[in-house]
Amino acid sequence: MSESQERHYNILKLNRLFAISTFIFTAVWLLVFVDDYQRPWKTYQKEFRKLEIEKVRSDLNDLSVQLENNPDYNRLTEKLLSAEKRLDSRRDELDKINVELETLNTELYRNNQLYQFSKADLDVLKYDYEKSQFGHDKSSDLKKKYFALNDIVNKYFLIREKSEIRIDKKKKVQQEITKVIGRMKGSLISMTREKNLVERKLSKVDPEAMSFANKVGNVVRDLPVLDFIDPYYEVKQVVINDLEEDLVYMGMPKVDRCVTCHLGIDKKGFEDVPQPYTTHPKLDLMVGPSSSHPISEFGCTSCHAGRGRGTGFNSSSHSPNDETTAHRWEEEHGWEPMHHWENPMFPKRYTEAGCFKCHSGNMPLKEAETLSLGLSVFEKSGCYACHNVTRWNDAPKPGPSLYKLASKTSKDWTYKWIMDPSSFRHNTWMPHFFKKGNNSSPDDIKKTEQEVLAMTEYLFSKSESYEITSVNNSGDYDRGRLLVNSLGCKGCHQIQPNPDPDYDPTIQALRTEQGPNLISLGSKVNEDWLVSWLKNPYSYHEETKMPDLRVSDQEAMDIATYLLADKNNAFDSMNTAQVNDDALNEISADFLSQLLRKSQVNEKISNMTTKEKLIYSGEKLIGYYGCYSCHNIAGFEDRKPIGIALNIEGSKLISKFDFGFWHDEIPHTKWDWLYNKINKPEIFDLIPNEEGSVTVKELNPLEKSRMPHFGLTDKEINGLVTLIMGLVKDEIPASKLPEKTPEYLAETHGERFVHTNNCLGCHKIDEDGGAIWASTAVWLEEIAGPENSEDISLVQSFSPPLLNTQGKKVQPDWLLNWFQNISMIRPHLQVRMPSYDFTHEEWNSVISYFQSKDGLSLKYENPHNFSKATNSYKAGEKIQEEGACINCHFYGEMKPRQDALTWAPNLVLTKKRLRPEWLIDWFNNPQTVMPGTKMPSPYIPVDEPVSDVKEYWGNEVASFVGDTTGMLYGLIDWMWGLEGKEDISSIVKEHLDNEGYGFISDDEDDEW
Amino acid sequence: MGSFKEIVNTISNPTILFTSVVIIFPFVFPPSDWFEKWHRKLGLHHLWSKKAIIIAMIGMIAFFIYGLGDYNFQKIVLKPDNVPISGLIFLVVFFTWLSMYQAYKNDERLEAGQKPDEFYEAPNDKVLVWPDLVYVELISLIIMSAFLLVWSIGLPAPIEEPANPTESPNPAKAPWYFLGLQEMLVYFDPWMAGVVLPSLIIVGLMAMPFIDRNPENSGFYSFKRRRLAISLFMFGWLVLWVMLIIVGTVLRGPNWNFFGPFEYWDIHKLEALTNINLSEIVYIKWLNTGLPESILIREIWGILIIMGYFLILPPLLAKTALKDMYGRLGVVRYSVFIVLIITALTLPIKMYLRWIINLKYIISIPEYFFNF
Repeated sequence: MSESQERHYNILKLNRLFAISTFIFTAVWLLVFVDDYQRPWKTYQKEFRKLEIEKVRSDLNDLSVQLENNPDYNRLTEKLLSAEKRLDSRRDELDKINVELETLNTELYRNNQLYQFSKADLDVLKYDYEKSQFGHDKSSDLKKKYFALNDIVNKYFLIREKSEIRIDKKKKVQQEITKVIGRMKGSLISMTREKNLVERKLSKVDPEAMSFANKVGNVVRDLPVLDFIDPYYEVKQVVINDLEEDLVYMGMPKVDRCVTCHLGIDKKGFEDVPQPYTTHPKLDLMVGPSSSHPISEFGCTSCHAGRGRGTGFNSSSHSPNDETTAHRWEEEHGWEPMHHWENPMFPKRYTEAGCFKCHSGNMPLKEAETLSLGLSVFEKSGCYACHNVTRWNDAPKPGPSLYKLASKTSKDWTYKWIMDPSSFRHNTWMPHFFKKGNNSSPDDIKKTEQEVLAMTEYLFSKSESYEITSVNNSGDYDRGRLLVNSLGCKGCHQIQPNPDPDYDPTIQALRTEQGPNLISLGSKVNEDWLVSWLKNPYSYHEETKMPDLRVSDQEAMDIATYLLADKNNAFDSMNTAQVNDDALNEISADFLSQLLRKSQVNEKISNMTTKEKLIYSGEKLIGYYGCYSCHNIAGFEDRKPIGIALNIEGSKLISKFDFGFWHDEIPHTKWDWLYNKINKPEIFDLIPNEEGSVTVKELNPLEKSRMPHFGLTDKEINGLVTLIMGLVKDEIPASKLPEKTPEYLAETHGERFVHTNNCLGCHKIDEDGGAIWASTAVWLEEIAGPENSEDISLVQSFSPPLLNTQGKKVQPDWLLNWFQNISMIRPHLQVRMPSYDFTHEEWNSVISYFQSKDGLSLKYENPHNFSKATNSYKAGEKIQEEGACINCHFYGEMKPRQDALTWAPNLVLTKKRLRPEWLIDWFNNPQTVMPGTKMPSPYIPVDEPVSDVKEYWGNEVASFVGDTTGMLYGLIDWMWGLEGKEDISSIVKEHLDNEGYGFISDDEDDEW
Repeated sequence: MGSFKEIVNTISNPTILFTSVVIIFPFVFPPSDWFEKWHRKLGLHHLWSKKAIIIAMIGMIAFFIYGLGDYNFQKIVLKPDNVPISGLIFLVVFFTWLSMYQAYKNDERLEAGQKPDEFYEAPNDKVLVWPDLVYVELISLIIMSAFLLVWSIGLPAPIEEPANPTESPNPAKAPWYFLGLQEMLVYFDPWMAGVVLPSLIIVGLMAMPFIDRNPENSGFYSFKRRRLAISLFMFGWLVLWVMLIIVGTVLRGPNWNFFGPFEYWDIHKLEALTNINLSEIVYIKWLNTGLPESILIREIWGILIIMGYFLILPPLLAKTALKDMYGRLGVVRYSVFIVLIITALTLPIKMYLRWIINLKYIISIPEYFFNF
């Protein structure tokens, strides 16, 4: 291969190669720019710019049309035109002035310069002269010079001033001529300000509306390389320094670049354009600059999670809400889950999880329905009993106490109930521990039967005695039914024999599940127990949420007769298993062998009687299944909850969630894991097969998942997942949290208290609550016919009162007394405010909740002063007479004139009960204060001539003409002076017994 | 085709893979006449022909294309970090072939009494720096830059999650060029695998020109005259280094368990790892007594074996099998050479001991952090 060439390689070839390689490199180098220019967010920004131009143009158009249709604007423009025409006649004059002004200005400039120069010389001389005064040889020469120059300067000053005066004069003349036009232009500008703003905005985004220079600039600013200076298309970001991204070694300020593509998120008017440009759906609450969560302070990912620094569809870690969306994203954006970011964005259905980290103290969270439902379900299901969450540390056990179980029901019932609670009560909150996917084989069932027997045995063996007060009356079924519907039971309880196929879980629906669904009680409890329980629930269980409704013996018997008539025959006919010693030995051995050697276990078991084994393993099983977490059970007072704590479950690393063999079936996300875990708690004990069936893993008896089935709906599970995803360890700076003022704390604490004790089951506050209304309607229908039960205002009047403005309304000391000693206020009501055994502090927190809501704070107030001798009092007396308050209200023992149907509170109570300031609001507009109330505004003379008022209403009222508030205070004075009987319950009872309510049926209605 | 994947998965098992490679290797790179004979007999010299490389490349490409249809294979091979390894497989094969092809060609030329292919008559044995060197370098530089740009556009930097000391990735892998060392960690104590052996590799590479001072064949490719040297080096390079990198990249999954190229990386996969030390085998299994209190007595067997391996084996070999070599190299060079070789051989030996008798360490003195 020897070559005689001087060069080893052919230089021509190399040159060619070099040329080709440089071409390739140039092409690749250009590819770099093309790649940079094709970044998806740039395309989005260009697209959005088009949308924005369109929007600004149409806004501008709207404004122009608006202006054109504005008569003021048209008149003004016309005037301006004519004024300008008029000005034309004086055009010559103006021109002349302008010419003169020009000359004058030149003159002024010259004169000013003369002055300035001489003044500068003078300053120098002044210094020289002053210096010469220092020391011995004082120069008189300088002094002379200085004062000579001073005179010259003064002269120039005067010359300059003269020029200025001349100019001012001319200008005045000029202004005089153009004054009118100037003013008009001013007001025109203020009328078109908005339009001008939009025009300016348009000239920033729309190249067509730009000046030529700006058009060039618009192109140049986005050219390659130059685009580092001030490009139009750029990554937009929000930096929030006090919210930190937890990067394990360090916290980094949150930087959210979501607005790079979601360009319309904080702008109104893009509600209907497709993503990513859509306006935030709750702009008044979130994102908007005047909302409580402006984007500049909260960013996006602090609520939504996701990777804020990402500028691409995948790198920002979006999460699809459902499979269809996922497929669409895969096609449109090449979407795939981002494995390297621990906090992927919440899918839409769990977005509210982001609310919880800051607002965990609230309940319910307004505008976060899913999360609020989750909180409600979390409490109702008693999740917190097994899974510690700090927020519920002091919450009472969610299930009933089993201390005195033996007095309440039978072993037989208890066995069947534990085995299969929903066969007794279809919508019970007691979950299923047995017959689940991982313990349903025939062997498992044989074993669980013994387990349930053992637990039942333990519960009954430890049961305390309960002193039952027996009542000898006999009850009446129909009266009982009426009582259950009218007393208020159904604010907390349902009586719903069959599942409702359209059941939609909401907070309101859950309010009627505060207590159990009262079906089949005949199969469960005996009459004596039920009567004792109704008469005094606290005697059976001190911590019960069931309040005392002050029922009489007869009422208790009636209710018991009604409730016990319902039996569940299918449940009653189920069999209870017999004790099986072999299976029992196995169960006992499982527990014993945790402590003892095999040989010791066998020895121990052989020495135990069957009953001992039952009780031993019963106790162990109650501990194992965690029954004590929800129920008070003797011997388990100090046990810790059995589940893992959920305090920071939302921050747990995804790798700590064991998906078992479900990696293909369940998407690899925390929420999907949680959803499946709650939906089917034993799922990860199972192995999915290809045909859709499952196999149970090889597990020892004590290794199986114990978490029970709650039979929750999709919506409820999603609520729970939202809540759990919100349980995170993020540290939130105080600046981002709602300010913890005493009022805020009182309000949130009160809200939770009101929620926990289900006040809204009966009462409505600000349009929320009042679950009992449906039952009021049922009762009304029975006693007054469907035409009355369909009248919503009548239903309202027979339901517990609205608690709007409760803080402003009542005197706090009266309210406290009343809470602790309930007495009749609304004489027509059948429904009763129960007596609760709350402490002083608890009642106080309720009262301060009401007050904080209304902006007050439990202050002492001067009593309302009045005198019966004043005009005011006398006017009040007249007004009540004319207004016929007596038609509906009791005046002490004086009964209202109208039927009981329209009765209203005893006015004698008012002075102790209500606050005069509130009464004024109330009289002025009862419907705003309590929408739907039957109270009318009192009739008072407002627009009538004084003479008429004097004639018809008397002098005292006439003296208040024009002073509505004065008249209303008169009414208050009168009420404060009203004396009489306070407790009218016996009168009411007698009336109702004899005359009834006086409901009007349809035919009679016509006559009215 | 399912069974094909299963076969590939099965033969990827380290015991099978490593054993077969070790057995086949001397037939491909014959170090002695005997192997050479079989090398020719089996027709393995055809490996270094143009036809062979075309078939090999087509076969490898076909295998990759076929493999990409498999989700698990695709996930491993196309992971941006692993793309260089896939490239490395092709490059190593190609350049190994190229050098051997050239060597065999030269061997033939020499046999026929010709000069080697790379030989140039003076004055053509020298080239000009410009343009023959620098110009070519410049062109390469430009093309390489273009290639790197295209690569970085096509495969963006594989950024993973923020580092978290409480959550190490599973599997936690070293940079690809260290995966061979990481593989050694499975069989050796960290200070051996991480410090001693890597240092010895560097020392060995430095020592090479001093050990092999044979001036023959310098300046051109040749195999025949340096069979032992080349095959020893190739064993260290291809088997103990490159193969371990590929194994570490492609076949090591969660918990550093072994996975076939078509196997799902299941984090739950378990391997029974009940390894015991030599002292336990001797005292408990064989002698049926407990472990002695004294460390020295306990570990004496391991110490004896190691001392025998390093102190007795070299002179023994010098007297017997490697007599010629000892004669050629002299005491010092022979000692250095043999110690390096037998140290390198501890890796395969240790691997087999682990696989066959679950041996953890030959000498195990955890009290002083010394394990071998």
